[in-house]
Amino acid sequence: MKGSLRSITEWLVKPRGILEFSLAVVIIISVNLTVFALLSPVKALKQVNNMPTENTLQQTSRFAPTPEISRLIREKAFYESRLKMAKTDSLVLSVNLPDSILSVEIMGIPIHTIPLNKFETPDFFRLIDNKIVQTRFSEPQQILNAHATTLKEPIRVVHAPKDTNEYNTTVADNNYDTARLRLSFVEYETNEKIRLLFIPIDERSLRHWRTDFAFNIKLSWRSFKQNLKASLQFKVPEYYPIVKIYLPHSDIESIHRALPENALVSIHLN
Amino acid sequence: MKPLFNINAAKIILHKLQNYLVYGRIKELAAIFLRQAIDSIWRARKAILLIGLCFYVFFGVQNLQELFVKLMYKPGNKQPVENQELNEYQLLLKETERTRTKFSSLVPRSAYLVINSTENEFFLYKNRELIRTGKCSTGSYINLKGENNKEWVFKTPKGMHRVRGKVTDPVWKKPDWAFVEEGLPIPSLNHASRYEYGVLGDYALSLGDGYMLHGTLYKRFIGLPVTHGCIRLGDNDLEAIFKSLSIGSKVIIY
Repeated sequence: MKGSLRSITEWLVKPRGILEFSLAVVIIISVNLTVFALLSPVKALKQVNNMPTENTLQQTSRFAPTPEISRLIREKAFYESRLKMAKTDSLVLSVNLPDSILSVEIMGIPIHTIPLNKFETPDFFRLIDNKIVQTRFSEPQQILNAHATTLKEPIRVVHAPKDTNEYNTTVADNNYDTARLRLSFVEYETNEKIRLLFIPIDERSLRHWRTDFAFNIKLSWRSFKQNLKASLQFKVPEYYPIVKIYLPHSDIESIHRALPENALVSIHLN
Repeated sequence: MKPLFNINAAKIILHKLQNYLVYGRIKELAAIFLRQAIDSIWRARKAILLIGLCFYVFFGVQNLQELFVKLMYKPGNKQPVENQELNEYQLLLKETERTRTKFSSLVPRSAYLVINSTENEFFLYKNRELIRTGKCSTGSYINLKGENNKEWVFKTPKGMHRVRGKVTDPVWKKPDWAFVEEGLPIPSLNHASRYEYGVLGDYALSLGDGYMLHGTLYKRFIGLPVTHGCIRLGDNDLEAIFKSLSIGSKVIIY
């Protein structure tokens, strides 16, 4: 026993031994992660499609899932959700993917409407049963987590001058909003485990790539941690379908600054 | 007279020599380089595999997951709605239309103002149509810290507001922060130095809590976030808004 332990230690101490050991660990982790990552959308779909539906929806269950009926069910759910959001007096977000329109609303009044020229939706939404769509998506979703490269409130602290002399000497341009220099990458995570990722499209500079890379690393690290934690416990990790929305930087910033913490969101699925 | 050597034959020999010396050498060097590269890769195969797997674990798993979901999806047949379902389909169509109409009716027909405090722009609507747009100035987001732990945050309040009052030739009653910000002592509540005439333009619309829509002497700052929370407008825009909005009209700030 002692001898075998010593031989393992000696093997590990060698540079190649460390490499081979690391390789073995990484192979085990990657196989584990792959298996659990592939199981997670299956589990998520099963969970979603097995959710209880309201009795009032029995009527729609008789419909064959033709594209036209699916479209109507999803559209109705979207407007019902928006009507519910309109009853609150706060700023909310509505994402209409089939009509390619995104808008910030308050009490049913669209105040900032943006056409969506480019977006990507996962096919996961197409796999959801119409009955579930009508029940789950006719309710507004709530933003639980937000990650952004821009500040919601770019507050700057200024200490009051002691007298008018100090005021006159420090009156230099204090009014410039430095937060505007940042590029806005924003990700919202809703209570329905949907992630809305806003990516700026109007700038393709080194600064854009750098911010994009740093933001992606941050998001990948978070997913990696979540997946690894779950898979090491032999649990299937949560699956988060990601809707990627490409918008001009100014629009992303306006949306992010407009929405309060835990704002409501309504998503019209395509 | 016969030439001492055939010039064309010499050219061919020279060309062949050049080919051998230059291209042949390059080929030879390339072959050596390739052999050495393959050899190095083979020797470092474990390290390369380790790095590749780390990349896969970090970036690739999610992409593989999405690919898997894509494979799970099988598009349904685009079959038309059958006759027996037509009534139910029409019912659903009617319900959807009714919900859509109900939602659309929430937009007021009366005049209302929308202010984008990020872009410092305003949008004036009447009869559900945009009738005027332009630049304005909103809160600077400065947090002014004074003595005795007193502090003020100069931001324009977001959300739904209503016009609470309308005044022509407004007089500005300077609040405490206006003195603190300039390093002046705070005067008593109704001291004459608190009243300033002509600095708010020709009109002012009150939104409550001291927030107003008003004019400005500093026109060059319109379009920038420079105010203490109020909304500053250019003279012509202010007049148009003053005339369009009545007491109780909606002012939405986001």
